[in-house]
Amino acid sequence: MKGILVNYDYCTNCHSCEVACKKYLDLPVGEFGIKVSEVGPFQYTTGDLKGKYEWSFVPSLTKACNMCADRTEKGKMPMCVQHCQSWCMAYGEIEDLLKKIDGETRYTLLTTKA
Amino acid sequence: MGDFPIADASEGHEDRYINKDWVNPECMVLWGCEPLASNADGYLGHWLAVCHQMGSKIISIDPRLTWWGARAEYWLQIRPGTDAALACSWLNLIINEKLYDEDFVDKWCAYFDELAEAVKDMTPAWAAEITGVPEEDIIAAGRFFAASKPATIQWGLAFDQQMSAMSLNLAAVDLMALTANIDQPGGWLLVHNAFECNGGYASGDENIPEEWMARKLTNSYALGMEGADFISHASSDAVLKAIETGDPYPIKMWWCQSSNEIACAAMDAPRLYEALNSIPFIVNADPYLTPTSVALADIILPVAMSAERDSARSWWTPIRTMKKVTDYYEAKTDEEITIELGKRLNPENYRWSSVDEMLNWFLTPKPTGGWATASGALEAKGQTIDFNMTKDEIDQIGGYVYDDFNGTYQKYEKGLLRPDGNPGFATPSGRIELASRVYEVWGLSPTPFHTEPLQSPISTPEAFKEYPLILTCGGRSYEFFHSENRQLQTSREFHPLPLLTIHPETAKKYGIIHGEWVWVENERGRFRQVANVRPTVNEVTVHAEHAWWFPEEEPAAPVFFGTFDSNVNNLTRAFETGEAGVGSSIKSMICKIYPYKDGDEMPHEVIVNKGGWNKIIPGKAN
Repeated sequence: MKGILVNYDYCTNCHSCEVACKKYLDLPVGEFGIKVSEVGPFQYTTGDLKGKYEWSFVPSLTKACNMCADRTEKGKMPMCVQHCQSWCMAYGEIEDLLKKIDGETRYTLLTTKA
Repeated sequence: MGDFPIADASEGHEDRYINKDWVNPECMVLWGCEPLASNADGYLGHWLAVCHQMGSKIISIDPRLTWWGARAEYWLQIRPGTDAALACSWLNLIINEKLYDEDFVDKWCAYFDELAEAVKDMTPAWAAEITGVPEEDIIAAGRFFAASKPATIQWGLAFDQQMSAMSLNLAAVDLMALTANIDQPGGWLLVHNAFECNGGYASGDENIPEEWMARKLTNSYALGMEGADFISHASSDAVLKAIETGDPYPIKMWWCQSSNEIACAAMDAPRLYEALNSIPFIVNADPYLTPTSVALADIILPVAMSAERDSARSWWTPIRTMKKVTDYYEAKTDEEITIELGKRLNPENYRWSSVDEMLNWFLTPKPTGGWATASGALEAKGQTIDFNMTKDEIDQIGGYVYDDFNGTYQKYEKGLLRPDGNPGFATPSGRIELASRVYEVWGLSPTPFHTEPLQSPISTPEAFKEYPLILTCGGRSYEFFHSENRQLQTSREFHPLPLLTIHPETAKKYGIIHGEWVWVENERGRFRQVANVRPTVNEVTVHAEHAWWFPEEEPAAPVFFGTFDSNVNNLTRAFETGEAGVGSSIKSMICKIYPYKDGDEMPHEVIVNKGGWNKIIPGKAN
């Protein structure tokens, strides 16, 4: 099964994936194929993280996402991965993608209904 | 130091992050800068995000919490307009604690003692008082910067928009010089235009008769400032004075191309609007109909967009070309308009018969924008440039070519920086001048110092009681570039309205609700933006966006696409600069805020129908 792995520690919320996707799928205002959610900003007040900031951006795939089947069958990347400015997204077999998760930074694996 | 520096994210090498000469910065100081959204001068902030991904640690010096600050080893939340105090205190710390590279300073720098003397009282404790950054954070971050090898500084526009602007630039150069990070991999790269294709800046100055050049509207000629002529273009204050007073001569025609000045660049936008209105003939060339077009232009020339345009750039590296693929209607490119106009005004200085011919001239190595080619003048500077490609040939291989100069480090050791071909830097002494002798010629202090913003809790404590918040402005967003892109549906979907960032406690104090319109006012006037309540600024600071207009609103007078209603430049002043006409206080003003109510009088009514809030004293600060 194919998926998209996001090393979301480095997502900058630049919107490139969202715009590239919605232009490719020709989605109207308010609709998305991939959408970035914001966590924070807040400052931890207790424990080891006290004083550190959390301000993270995590994309989700919507029901409109078809993993750019017409592109990937030609060996191209999905539009979101192609346009990621931070190079923090990868497309492939989920077994292969899981091997990239190294515990050094934070990842999320995105899939769609088959 | 004699050359332009840029933070080295391996942009000088075609193979980028795998290049064997490049070293990832151990520490990156993001200073007055959010390069992810600002992408200043073609520098892509995501290059530095890749460096961070590869392990670079971050120091963020910014009144706002940004993506960088949230990921930083140290986020120094500085009071706007006081960066030079922080920089001077780091110099003080690095000198006092002997954290500098003694060998580099001994071999390649000059006037160390003069710098040390100038900053000897500018301690971290002194800077903490001024900047609002705790002393221990200034010290810890300064030590971290000095100990990192290599370290780089990415500086932002905030460097230029404070009163001690040139001083702050000098201080940053001194910091990088003391720590031996100049012209080093992962430090600062010293750059030239690719292949010495220098046809861009000050192009044609040498063709202007001396008696005309002497009457250029510079700060020294029109405003009587000492030094002050080191910037090649005219001074905006000098131009404003000429329009308002006819001194030293009246302005009878205004040509504005790809500029939307009443929405964006004008200091005191209401005043500039009134001044420009008095000019008999105005031409506006722009791809879009803007507030400036509607409010001022007698003739509008539609400008072609990038897909309709053949062009080239040599700013740093690689040299780049773009290829026209389509065109629509009667729009012409900036190049076509320039050539056609130039040929009518002065055919001797516009010898090109086509855009292709002009671009091929531009793509020829040359020392300046004149008609000379590489062979003579560059060889006299000890440089031979092996580059001989046409626009078409560059298009054919993909539109870019990297040059060697910008991919070379330690050029000062190799004799690549000085016109005489000797090792050293392109300065009078051949060394990096920690106390700059060239600054003295320009009427600037040769050593760094801090100047307080013109209005602040320290400089105007009485006014601060009435206007108890610090107003900073001009931070960028991903969706727009200055006043551009407001008419693009997707940009507005993500960012529909101008946002005023307010700390939650401050919003509560002034009865302001997230998502509702709020007025920002000082003694000059007011504007409204939408409250964006979040803790990315501190409780005494608000941040306003700049350059807004609303293509969906009424174009005609007095509304002008609503550009005056949300314009932070209703609050700024003309004729206020730092030393030698450089720098300003516009990122460090004071203000009060209060909720907008239905029926409140809109700024466009006051500005366009009632002559504005302030009496204008022609040619002078008001």
